[in-house]
Amino acid sequence: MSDKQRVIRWNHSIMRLLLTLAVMLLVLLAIGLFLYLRVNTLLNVYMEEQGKKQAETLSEVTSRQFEGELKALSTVASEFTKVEEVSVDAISAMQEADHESRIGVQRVDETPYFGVPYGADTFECIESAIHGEQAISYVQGKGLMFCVPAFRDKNVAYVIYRIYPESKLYSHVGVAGYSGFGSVCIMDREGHVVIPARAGENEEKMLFGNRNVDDGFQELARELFTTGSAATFRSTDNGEQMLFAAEIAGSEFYLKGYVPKRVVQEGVEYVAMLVILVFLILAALVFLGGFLLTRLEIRAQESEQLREASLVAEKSNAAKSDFLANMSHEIRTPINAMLGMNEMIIRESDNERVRNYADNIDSAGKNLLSIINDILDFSKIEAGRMEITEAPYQLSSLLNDVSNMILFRARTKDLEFRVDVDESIPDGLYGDEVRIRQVFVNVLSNAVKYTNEGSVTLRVRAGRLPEEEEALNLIVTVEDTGIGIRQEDIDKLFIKFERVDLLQNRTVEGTGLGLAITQKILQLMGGDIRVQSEYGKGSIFTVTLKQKIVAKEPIGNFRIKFERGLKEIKTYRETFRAKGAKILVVDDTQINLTVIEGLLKKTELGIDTATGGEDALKLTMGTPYDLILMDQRMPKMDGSEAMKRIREQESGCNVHTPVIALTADAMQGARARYLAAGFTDYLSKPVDGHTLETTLVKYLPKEKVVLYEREDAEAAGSAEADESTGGIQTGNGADNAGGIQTGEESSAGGRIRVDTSPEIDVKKIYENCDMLSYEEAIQYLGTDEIMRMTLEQYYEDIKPNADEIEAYLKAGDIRNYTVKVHALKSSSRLIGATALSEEARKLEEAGNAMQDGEDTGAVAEKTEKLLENYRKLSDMIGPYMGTESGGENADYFPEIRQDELYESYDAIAEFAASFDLDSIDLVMEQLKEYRVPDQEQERYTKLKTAVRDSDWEKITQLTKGE
Amino acid sequence: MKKAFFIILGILVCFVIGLVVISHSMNTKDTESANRRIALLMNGSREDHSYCQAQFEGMLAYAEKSGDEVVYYDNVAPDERYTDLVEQLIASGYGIIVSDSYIYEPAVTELAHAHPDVYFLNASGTQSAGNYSSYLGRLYQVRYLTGIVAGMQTKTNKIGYIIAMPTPETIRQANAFTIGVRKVNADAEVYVRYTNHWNNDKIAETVTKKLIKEQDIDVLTLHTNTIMPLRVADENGIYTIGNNRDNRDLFPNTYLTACVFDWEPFFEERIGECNRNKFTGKHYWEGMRTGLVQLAPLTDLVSPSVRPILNAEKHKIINGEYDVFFGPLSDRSGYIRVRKGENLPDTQLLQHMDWYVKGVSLE
Repeated sequence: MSDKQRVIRWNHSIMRLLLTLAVMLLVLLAIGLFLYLRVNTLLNVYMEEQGKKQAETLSEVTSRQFEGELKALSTVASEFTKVEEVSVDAISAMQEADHESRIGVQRVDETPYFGVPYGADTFECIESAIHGEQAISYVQGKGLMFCVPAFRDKNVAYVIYRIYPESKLYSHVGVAGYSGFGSVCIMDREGHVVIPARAGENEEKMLFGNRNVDDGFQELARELFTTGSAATFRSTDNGEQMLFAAEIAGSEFYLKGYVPKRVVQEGVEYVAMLVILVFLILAALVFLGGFLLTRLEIRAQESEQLREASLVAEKSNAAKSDFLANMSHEIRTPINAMLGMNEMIIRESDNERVRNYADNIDSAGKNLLSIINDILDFSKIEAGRMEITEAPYQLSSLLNDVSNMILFRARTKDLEFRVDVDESIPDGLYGDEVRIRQVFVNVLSNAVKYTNEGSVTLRVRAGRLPEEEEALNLIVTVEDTGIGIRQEDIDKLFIKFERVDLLQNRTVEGTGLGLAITQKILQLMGGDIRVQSEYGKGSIFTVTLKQKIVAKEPIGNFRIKFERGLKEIKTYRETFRAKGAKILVVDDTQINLTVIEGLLKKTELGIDTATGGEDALKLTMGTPYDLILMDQRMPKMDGSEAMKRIREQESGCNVHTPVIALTADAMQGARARYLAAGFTDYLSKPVDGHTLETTLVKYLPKEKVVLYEREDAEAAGSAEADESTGGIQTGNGADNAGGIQTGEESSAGGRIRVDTSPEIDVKKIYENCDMLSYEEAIQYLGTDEIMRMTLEQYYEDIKPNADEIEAYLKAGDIRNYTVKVHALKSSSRLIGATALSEEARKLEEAGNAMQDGEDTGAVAEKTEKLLENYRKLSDMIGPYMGTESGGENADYFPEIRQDELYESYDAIAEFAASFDLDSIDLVMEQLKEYRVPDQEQERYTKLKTAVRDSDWEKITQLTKGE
Repeated sequence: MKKAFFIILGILVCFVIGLVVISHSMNTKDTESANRRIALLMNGSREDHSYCQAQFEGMLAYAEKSGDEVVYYDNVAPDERYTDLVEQLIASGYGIIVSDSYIYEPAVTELAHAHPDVYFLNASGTQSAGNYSSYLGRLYQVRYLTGIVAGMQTKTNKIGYIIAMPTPETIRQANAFTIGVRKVNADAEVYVRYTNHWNNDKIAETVTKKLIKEQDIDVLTLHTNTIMPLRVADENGIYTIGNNRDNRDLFPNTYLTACVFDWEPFFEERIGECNRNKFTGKHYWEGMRTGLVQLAPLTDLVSPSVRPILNAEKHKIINGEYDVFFGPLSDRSGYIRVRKGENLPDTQLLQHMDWYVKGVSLE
């Protein structure tokens, strides 16, 4: 993650945090608002309830007052029920006591009995009383009347009333305000004020008539009906007031009033405050919690992202390792084929130069293979698949192998290779021989690689481990006189792909993996590696590795052992013939089959091939084999499976036939695994001829094998040994004196002389052709053999080349013309046609000039002349070339059967369809070993040309058209 | 994170919506003044030319005037059908249930209790509750006046009075009528006959015919919901005095006058109170002063000499100087029920009127 990304991500997080907090704040505000409103509402409702209760109380007071009035009248009325005519003394007395009101008695027909009569049409309560009901009536302008009936028996006889004029009402039946505050008045249904608020009171009285207050009272009036009492808050000029109203029981009146809110809510506001305070604290806590949570989340997310990133990295690393492993595997197969083919060239070619080339290919190929092995190893280490398999081994044998290998390499660089092994080291150790060998080879080849002159010294010592009798510390020192390593570069040595001092070493090949792998392997085995170096003078690598001791018998004088070993090394040759023996080779890759067939051709073994497990099963049913070579990795049915089935074939002829696994699987423990799977033995691909033959000799029936050593091969071996130049000294312990000379190359020793096509008498051609110079040709081509081959090729090419040059010129295609002429120049020079080459050179120059836009003129003419000479040369050497190809092989090879030839054509056609030139070449190569029947000669010749030119269309046409 | 954000946002939105809804609902108390829908349920036919039709026409007039939505049901039996119908109406949003008979009273009492938000008005009962009022008029005041008309009109001094069945209401009215008759004609007798059905035409016809056959009556009035007695009387050339509704068109040759209700103003007032939430549950019993009960104009068949005394009596009643049951009043046996200077209180009139005044002749 770059800083910029980090900043962006951080900003993003901040934004998100802010957003979250904002949202949370909004929510809190909303909740707060709601809470505030709710609390306020509840408090208001509560206060309204209180107001209602107060109003009810007030109304009850009033109601009681009214009841009192009516009761007083009723008491008087009861007097009237008893006697016919009653005295009005009681009434007079009442009237006397209260001058403010007037009291009267009248009959039902409204005739007066005492006081002034009132009509039922004026005061409704009179009519009610006539009908037998107590009632209170208010008439505006007249006053408030209380009226009761006086019964005689069940009938109404008199009506008794008391009337308060409006002006006197308050003092008699008025209601004091709410706890002494505010004002109260009593109204009738029509909305007239019956009993006004305390007259002459303060300005609060003026609130009646205020629009807002009236509106409030109207609302209360609506509510009053259902509830009997009501209260509400309204703001006025005198601050917020609570308005309240209540019905007065037993009357048509109701009471209304107001009181300042502050009086009502005394103390209540603290509740709201308290609630808000608590909420605020809560909100702060929630806010804080949210903040912390969000921060935590962001952190968690970041670590999550990191984790994901590392997961991705791990995955891609694993994918890379897998890819490397697979690639290495894939590359090894073709290299295997290449090396196999090359091995055949080495064996079959007598031509020194060709063999040299092939040797180079071999060496480069092996180098490539070792690089790929490095990569494969490394990918295994990376993938954690590198295993250490420990087993008893002989240190001497290991050192022997390593020394052999290094000796050869050192010799090619003219270096001295010294070996110094402590005689007392126990020979039988316990460890992973393969990996230890790899470590030794890596360190030693590194030394050789970076040493241009001087020596490489291998020292092996054993460090005693005081606590452990059964183990020792193997100390291996490799000292060279090479270029050395700068102090600052030493640390880089063990880093993969890191190569130090590139400028100086750019010609040194390698992946830069060697030491890294070495170190890893050592770590896996519990050892380590250290470096001391002086830049320009040399380096000392010290490997320390603990090994268990299996056999205490000392290694002794390694020098002698090594010497003996060297002598045993034989040059390669077919070590046996087994004419009657028959083997089956199973591999899904045709090339591999070809390679093995090629490698074993001279042994005269009968070889059957199968390209898959199923084919192999068919063959093994019918044919008894002496041995089966089985590729492990095959599609559909793998080698193990095929082997198992062969073993299980009930009527098979190969139930007990040794089956040897062929595999490119170089994994640690592969051998053990294959043996455990039931294979008789195991051959690692690429198979080298020597190992292959040794293995075959080991498992083929002894009676069918004739071990074979050719005299000339031995002779060649000793001759080469004598001629060898590289000297090495091996020494044991302090004895460094005795030097031995060896001249053997470990794998590419003696060559087999291959029977080849008959000699065309090259010298004769050159003698008879004045256009050619033998001296020139030999200078380029070296041997008569090559000269012959080149000449053959040259001759074959003349006609088509000439035609092409002509055609290009005609078509004005100067570019291709020039290319062709250039080729003619080169090839002509090779064969010694110096004049012709010179002619071509001039035309090439002309062609180049023309391409640059210059017209040098007369090109056509000169070309004509050139081609004339070119064709003349063809005529001159033609007779010596004999009939095409017939001359090549007619006498030396058996004639190929018709059906075999057609099979080959079919194969070529198939390969051509997939543009597989290599395979086609192989087939053609095989065909060369036969004589083609006369009637097929023409087609065969054309086919050869087509294959050489990679003319796919023509190849297909020729191989398909029968 | 995004998800969480949206969840929070969703909660917030829901919260705000809830808040708005809550505060809105807090503001909208039961103070709305949208007019309630009204249902009128009648125990007889809306075309009975009598009690039911009077209420129906009153409500129709109110509906036309106010534009309120009113639905009418007639011939509603006072059993479960009434309750079911009312429940259904309430469920459909009817807020004022008006019905016209004491026979519904038990059902209304229950329904009013079950539906405090609905207002009930039921005629001819006496019960009441917070959302339930009973109502009728002091029709006896008008009966008294028609009695005066009948008393002055009769030549045979025999007046027929067909009553559905004896109840305080029917007896009170018959008494008021008789008091009126005897006020102007001390010799006249009022022949009261029961049909025992409010709406049965056939029985009413038979009873009336029998009365006519037995007694030489020349004026007839009635207290049934069917007007069959008037038809019979009219066919027999007997003067007719209507009740509940003015049917003078039907009986041009015999119709004298009628006691009538004018329900429209009453309904307007009560329904207005309902819609303004000023409703008071009580027993309404308005007399002539409010105009709920009226004397229909006299026809030309009535002697003009009746008018002065009639007007004088009407005036006294309206201004409260006189109500019909002022003493002295004796029952048929001569026992003084109300002494001079006394009045029968409403409780007696409504609940204990089980006696006929002197001058009533029963079978």
